[in-house]
Amino acid sequence: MLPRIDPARAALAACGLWLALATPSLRAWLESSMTLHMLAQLPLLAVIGYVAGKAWLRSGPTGIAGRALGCVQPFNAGGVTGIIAASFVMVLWMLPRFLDAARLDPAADAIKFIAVPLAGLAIALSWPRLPVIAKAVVHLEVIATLLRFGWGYLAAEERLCLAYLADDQQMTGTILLWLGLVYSIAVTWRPLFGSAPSPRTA
Amino acid sequence: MSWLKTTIAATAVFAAGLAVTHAVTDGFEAYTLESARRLAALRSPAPLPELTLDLADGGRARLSELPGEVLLVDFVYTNCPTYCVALGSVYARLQRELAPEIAAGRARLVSVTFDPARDGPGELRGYRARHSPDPAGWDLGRPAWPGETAGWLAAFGVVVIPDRLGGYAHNAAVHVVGPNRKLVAILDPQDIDGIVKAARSAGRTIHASAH
Repeated sequence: MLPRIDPARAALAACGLWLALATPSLRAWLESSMTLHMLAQLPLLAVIGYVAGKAWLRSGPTGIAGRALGCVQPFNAGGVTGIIAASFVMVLWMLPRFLDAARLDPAADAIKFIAVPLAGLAIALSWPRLPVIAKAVVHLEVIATLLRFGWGYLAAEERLCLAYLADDQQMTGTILLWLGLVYSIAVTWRPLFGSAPSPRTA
Repeated sequence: MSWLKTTIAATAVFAAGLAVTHAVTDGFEAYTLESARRLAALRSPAPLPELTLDLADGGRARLSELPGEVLLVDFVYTNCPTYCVALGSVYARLQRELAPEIAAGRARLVSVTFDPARDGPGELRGYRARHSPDPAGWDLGRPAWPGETAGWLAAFGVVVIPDRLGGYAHNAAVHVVGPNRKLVAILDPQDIDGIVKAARSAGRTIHASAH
């Protein structure tokens, strides 16, 4: 079990990380390479939203945050709405056109800095509500997306991003394929081979 | 009634997602910046700003003052070992294929350097001489002042990045600029026939509308 962190503190930490990522020097560094941009900055931004969403879920039902959650979640039965929204956001920002846009146009990057954490937030609010079958479908779609993008970047003969070099694109493609492989093993291990005796079940 | 609210919300989010994706990918057609700028040139040719060039053969000209009804513009740097060498031989071929149009003042080739610190008039003329014995109809130039290079690149949608080997990576293409100085087509350098056709048809539209 993860230690139970105070929701307010978790939200604060998420905000702090967001501000750190938004500082010009860190932003420029993480966007200087396609690999870092796609496989470090984008996931971190999503994690920020996810942590904030988890904190929101644990806020007391009587406070403003809890009441706001009570207004939002009825529109998200089974987590469908949130997962659909998050899927659109994540796939769009992985496309070469929008990696380029974020790198070359500060206005586009500002939108990314808001949209991707919101996608992470939506995943946090929706994932626990998803039926098992839907979770499997989402896992499958994540694997397919990692492999699709990985293969696309690796197999492309020309540079797909104008702001990044060809070897950077190759590296991104290779890592995406590996991530797809690792992710698929991680999610199929337990259903295939049963859960190993863990401290929780033993 | 949570299921009803969710059905409505999820449908709305799905529709909105599709609409946004449709809008930002030019109707599910342009997933890269390169295809986006090529599609934009074909669908809605934008007038280019008044950019200025110091010509390698002497003189300074604004885009509207450059001779030739149709301009075929490319971006190079003369130290380039790869694309620009290919572009140079492509321009020499275009010079031969479009000789009648060039002689009649209907077409003109223009190479713009994006490395103005290294590429002076001498280097540019040397680049042309390496590819073609005849300077006729092929203008070269460098942006007239420091900030002007960024203006040229932005107007045409060219992105130049350092290649970590002392040179640059850039999206090499031939840009067809029509008589009204609108960017009407962007084509691969290998597509000589397509470029020749685009240059002729861009010139023809004005002749057809004039008569």
